[in-house]
Amino acid sequence: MKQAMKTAMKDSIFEVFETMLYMPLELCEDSDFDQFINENRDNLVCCKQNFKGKITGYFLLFMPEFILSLVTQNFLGFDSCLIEKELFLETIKEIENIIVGNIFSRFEKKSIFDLGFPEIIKYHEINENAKDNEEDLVVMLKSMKGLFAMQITYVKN
Amino acid sequence: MSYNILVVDDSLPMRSVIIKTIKASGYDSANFFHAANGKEALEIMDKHWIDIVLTDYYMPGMNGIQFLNEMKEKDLLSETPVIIISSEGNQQRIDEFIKIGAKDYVRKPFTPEIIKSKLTKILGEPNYETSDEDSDEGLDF
Repeated sequence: MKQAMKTAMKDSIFEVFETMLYMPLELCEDSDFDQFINENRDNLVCCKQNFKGKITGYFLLFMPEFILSLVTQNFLGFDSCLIEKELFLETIKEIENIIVGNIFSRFEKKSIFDLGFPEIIKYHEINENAKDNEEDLVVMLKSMKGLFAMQITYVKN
Repeated sequence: MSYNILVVDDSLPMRSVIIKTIKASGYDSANFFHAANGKEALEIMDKHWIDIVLTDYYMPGMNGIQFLNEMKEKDLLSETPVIIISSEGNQQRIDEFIKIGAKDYVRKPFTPEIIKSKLTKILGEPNYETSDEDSDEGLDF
């Protein structure tokens, strides 16, 4: 199941970035997630989206501000210096929502998953309610501006 | 005569992107209206004739299905076609949209070509007259 989810995550992120953001990506299987977090801790935007269904949990999209700036610019078609900060945060929420919907379309077409509304959270809030039986999976990607990552944390129902 | 198109999505960036994409697909002369949820959309429909509605499914307050049901109750669904635009890809849910009365479904991410083919199927080819009012106020950042 983990491999199928990883493939769905990778393919969905690639499709959304290529179709709506015109940003080519590379998969970075050898990158160190902890190192990525530590290096970007001060400028990292983290967006969380819960889901319920055959598996239950949440996705986290981690994006350094300088990549989010380019993502927002490409999404809206405006120069990023003309865009207010609130719109950067609204954009990452929408991008995560599209990616997550897409992931479940690929991962398990026959099952219904109910999605929560994406929310911006602080990094230290992530593990506050961690459960023992949770499983994690991280996909790291490289854009022309640098690395970003998406994580799923889930339990089987 | 240009079309009146209503875009309903709780995300302001997404409303802007949908309207830009519709314009890029050839319907740039349409009058655009936009709403952040089903309630706002119904208020707009009370005041203006709308030729087509493009609505998200996941919205706080009133989701896409509830919005369709409200339109049905107000007898608006028989005269105003609705396209659901959502990242939802589950066939059972898409069938539910169509069963309630949506004319079509567009999965996010989408391209101008997809939007154009769906709009053309329902409205016909875009006309190229200039718009007499610019109603997509509030979407310029």
